Amino acid sequence: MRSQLAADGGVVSQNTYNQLFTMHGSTMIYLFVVPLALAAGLYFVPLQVGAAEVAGPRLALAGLWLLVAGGVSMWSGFLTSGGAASASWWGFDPLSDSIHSPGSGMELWIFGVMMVTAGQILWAGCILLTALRRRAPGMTLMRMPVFTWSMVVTCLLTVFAFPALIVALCLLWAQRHFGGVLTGGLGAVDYQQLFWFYGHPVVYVMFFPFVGMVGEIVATFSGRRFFGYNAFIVALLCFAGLSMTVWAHHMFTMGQATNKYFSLTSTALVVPAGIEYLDLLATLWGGRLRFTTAFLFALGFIVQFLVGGLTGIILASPPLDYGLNMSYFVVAHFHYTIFAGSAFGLFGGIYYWFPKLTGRMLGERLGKAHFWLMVIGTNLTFFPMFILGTDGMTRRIASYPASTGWQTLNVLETVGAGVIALSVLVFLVNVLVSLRSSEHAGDDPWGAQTLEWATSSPPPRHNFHTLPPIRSYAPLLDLRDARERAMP
Amino acid sequence: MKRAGIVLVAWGAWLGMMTAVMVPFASIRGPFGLHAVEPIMLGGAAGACLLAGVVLWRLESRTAKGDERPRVIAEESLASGALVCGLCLALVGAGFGLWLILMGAGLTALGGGGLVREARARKREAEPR
Repeated sequence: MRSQLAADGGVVSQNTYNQLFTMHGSTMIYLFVVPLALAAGLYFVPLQVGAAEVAGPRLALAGLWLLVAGGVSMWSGFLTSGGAASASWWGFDPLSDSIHSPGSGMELWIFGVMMVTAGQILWAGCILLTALRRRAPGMTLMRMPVFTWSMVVTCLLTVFAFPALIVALCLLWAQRHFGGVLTGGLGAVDYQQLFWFYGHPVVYVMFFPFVGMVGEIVATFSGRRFFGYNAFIVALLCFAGLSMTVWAHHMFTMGQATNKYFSLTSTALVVPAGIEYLDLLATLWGGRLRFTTAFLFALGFIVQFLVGGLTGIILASPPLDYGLNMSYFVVAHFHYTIFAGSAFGLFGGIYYWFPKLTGRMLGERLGKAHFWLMVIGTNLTFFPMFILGTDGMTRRIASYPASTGWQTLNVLETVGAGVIALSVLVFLVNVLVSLRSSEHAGDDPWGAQTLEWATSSPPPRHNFHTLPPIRSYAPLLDLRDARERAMP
Repeated sequence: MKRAGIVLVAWGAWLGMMTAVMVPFASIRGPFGLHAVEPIMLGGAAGACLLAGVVLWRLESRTAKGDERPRVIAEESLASGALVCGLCLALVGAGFGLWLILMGAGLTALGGGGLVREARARKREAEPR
């Protein structure tokens, strides 16, 4: 896709480009970020609450199979004569109906997304029940680690918002085969209402788990207890509730949504988001900071997500959104939240928890090279999109006239995408080198605070042989403090 | 462990409150009529969440200890995989023809049978010898 835009429309056809951006968005959201966020919860929530296993392990396994089957279904569209789906990751009607998107590719996409979404709902249900019902003695609700709480709100969103997508896709499928379902009156708009009822909460499903990861990392590497724990949890719950009530800000320019209400709630998101940010920064304040790779990625998340968040305030205002809707400004905004934010949080989490998962440490030197390359690549790729967007470049175009003068910035973005690819290569080399290393990481290489570090690396099948006493949300820090106090 | 349902009840109440705030905005008749679908969706989610919270609360009062049950080694359950793959094939068959639906149904039946077998084995294992 980046080569196409750098070359000003000379690499693939318009139809192929449509398929590429559709499958790019679909893969990243349905098959990569959301599943990884939930998978982190499936693995670490039982460990953090002191449970022997996840609640409903069969359902969790069913979720995995649904994810695999759904992914195969979506991608097998490329093997059909008409190619893969090309109606964007939204699949909006009438672009996705049988007239504008004929062929099996779109059908396979619809079935695939249904399966994947059903699997994610199952996973979320399992995680939610684990956190709420399988906690160890002493692990009260207000002693659960911040990552576990972030997964609780993530799963609330998943369980109560994602079914709307399955309903929307059933209607879309019926529309393609029988017609008359999404036509007339507000039919196509109702599809959008259903889609965005899923489509905005999913943005937060791709955000909250990584805020939780960053919270754990920041507390561990500043050597301090997480600041304002209670306020953070209340802010998370309010934030998640509000994020269920902002979906129609994606429909401001249609004139068929309650713009005033959705503008109000979208702007109100700033309050809980601000509390969370202040808690993260205050945890750093006065700490003994250790600049490990995990910590650098957490800092990258905090700084870069802010760019995505602040530009979101602009888009939350209908008059401004009328000017910027469907432009590259929007593309830049959500890539700053999902890639510059969440992907950095994800890599932070990987560097932080890799020793727990594998018993091996990831290399710090290669890790830091990975981080800096990724920072450069990310900002080189996505920042120019703000400029192109305000200059009028619309999203999803495969070519543009040379007279627009957009090619230089597009070439710069393509170079940035190459740097990101290089950084991921460095990461993969790091993983391979680390897995081949014979040096064992130990149970708690970071001096961390939460229960998962009280067991062996990797954990045994039943997770724990013994559990330490749990008297706060940082039981291992309590133990260290008690030991220090007991020393003469 | 007794208060887990409170999270769902509180969150459902919060969504309910947001729905109540939305109603006056949505009831303003615009050029395209009322926006009934918006409060219906949000209110539906709020109601579902409250209901789930109440159900969880009642379950908690019935079963005090939730973790005392035989462990399931789920990743070794081929039947679960067969069941899900069968259902997926049948679903895709809705777009590609009866032959695929029937194949999916067959695999689903095999997976279902396997699950019953696993459940019986688990019951036998739990019985005192």
